[in-house]
Amino acid sequence: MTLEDRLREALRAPADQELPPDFVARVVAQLPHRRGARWRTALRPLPAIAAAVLVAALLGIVGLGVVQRHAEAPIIGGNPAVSASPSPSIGSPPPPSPFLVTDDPRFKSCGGESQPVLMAFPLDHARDYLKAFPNMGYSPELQVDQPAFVVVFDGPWHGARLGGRFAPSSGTPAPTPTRPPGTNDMCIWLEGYPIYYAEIDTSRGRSIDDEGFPRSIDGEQVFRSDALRAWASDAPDDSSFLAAGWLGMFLPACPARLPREAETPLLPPCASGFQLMDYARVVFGSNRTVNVIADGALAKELLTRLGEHLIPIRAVLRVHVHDERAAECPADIREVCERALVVEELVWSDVEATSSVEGFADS
Amino acid sequence: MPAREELVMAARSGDRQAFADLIEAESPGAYRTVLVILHSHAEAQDALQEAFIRAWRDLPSLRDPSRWSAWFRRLLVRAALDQARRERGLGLLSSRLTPGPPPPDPASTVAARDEVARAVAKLSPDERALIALRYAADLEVPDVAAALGIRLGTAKSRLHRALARLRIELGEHR
Repeated sequence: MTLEDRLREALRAPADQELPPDFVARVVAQLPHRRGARWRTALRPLPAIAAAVLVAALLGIVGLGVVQRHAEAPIIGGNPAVSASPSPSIGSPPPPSPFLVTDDPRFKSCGGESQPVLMAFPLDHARDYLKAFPNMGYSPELQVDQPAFVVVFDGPWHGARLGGRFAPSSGTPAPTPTRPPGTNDMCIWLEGYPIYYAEIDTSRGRSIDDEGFPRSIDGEQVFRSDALRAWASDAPDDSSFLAAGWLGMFLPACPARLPREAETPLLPPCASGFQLMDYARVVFGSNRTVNVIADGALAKELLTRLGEHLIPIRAVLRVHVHDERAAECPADIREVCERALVVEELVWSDVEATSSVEGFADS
Repeated sequence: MPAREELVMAARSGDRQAFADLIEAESPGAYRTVLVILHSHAEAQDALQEAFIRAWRDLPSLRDPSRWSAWFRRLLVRAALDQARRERGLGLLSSRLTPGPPPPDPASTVAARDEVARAVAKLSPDERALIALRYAADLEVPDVAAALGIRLGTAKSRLHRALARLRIELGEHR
């Protein structure tokens, strides 16, 4: 029996690979609403106490103390409950610790010290909220230039809310509410007031740096600039990683005689092709630029994103070094080939494709 | 039951029963695949659940219903590899093997399967994904490459390397 036959027999054995009979039913029961069953409590337009009283009067259930805590925002307990290593919920892997900024006063103002938190980080501009949470949905109140601060709670927000689940108004523990998987409650502090959102799809949530690049995607670190070059240089094998930068294309005039590198697909003629740059301008030969190799449908997709004017865009690519094609390179340039960054997929960009190469959108 | 493309279109429009029918059909093969990648029933169920939920959430973006299988496989593998990375980050995956209840087969067959499964468990998550798609899900290599979002040549070379490692693990030197 060949190894392939042994694998087929071993890996398809059904007896110990059966799902619980109610598995599908349980999954279906947890499916989120497509349009997002979210509520929001924008207290900013109302005086805080009045809003709290209004909420309490409308609901008739929540204790006034809880609502006031919510309205006035700071909830300072004797034992801060900020989780340094929060437990992940489905679709929301814990971000690396740099994305848990707890020493900002806005963290406390959002109630971040009152319960476990998954993410907390500043946004230079509130309007960047969709870059941080692509699945959050359009929120017009955040379409402003002012700085903001985001706190994503690990578990339901314990303050007052306008939905059907409530925190206890006394010391009696309430049943743990069930949230759709991949969703979290969050606070966005803006212009002096916290705005609370419920059941926001944070499964693709990410902290972004001051130039709008995600620092991580689905919990995986994104490398950029010097960190990218260092990682690519030291990578021991062809395991993929995420590389970010301004994606651009450089099309120099080709010399009459192609350099020897033209013999390998890993070093295209004239170094033409895609580049990841530290800055949003194309500078051939800069040490702030790395060439990336993409071909076929992938190259077409990248070109689609760049548009006809090839204007650089922010992008995160899944790449690897030590591509197997490096073995085809002549010995004197083998090392250069081994370090060539080969693109496996476009993971993120801040520009939508004008037409899709594949039959489905990137996910 | 309606044809799969009809189910996809109905589910895309928000029909939960259609989506339930759709994932009911996908579940056995999908579970086998993630189980090979993750080697834990609990983790495999988590990954499968996450893949289904992502599928439900992102289904409106699937423009061509006939591409459901390829589209879903890609979500599935990504969910499994995400899970594997999280587990690897927690230092759990490499030290855990949780076989389910033994199948009612002759002892020798069980032992042989277990030997193969243990050898597969020593591969990296990415290599296990290749092996799972090729031999558990029985996909052709181009479909494996598409599911993993890598080029055909890359898939072939990685598969070759993974099989070579398995041969060494299983003592099948050529």
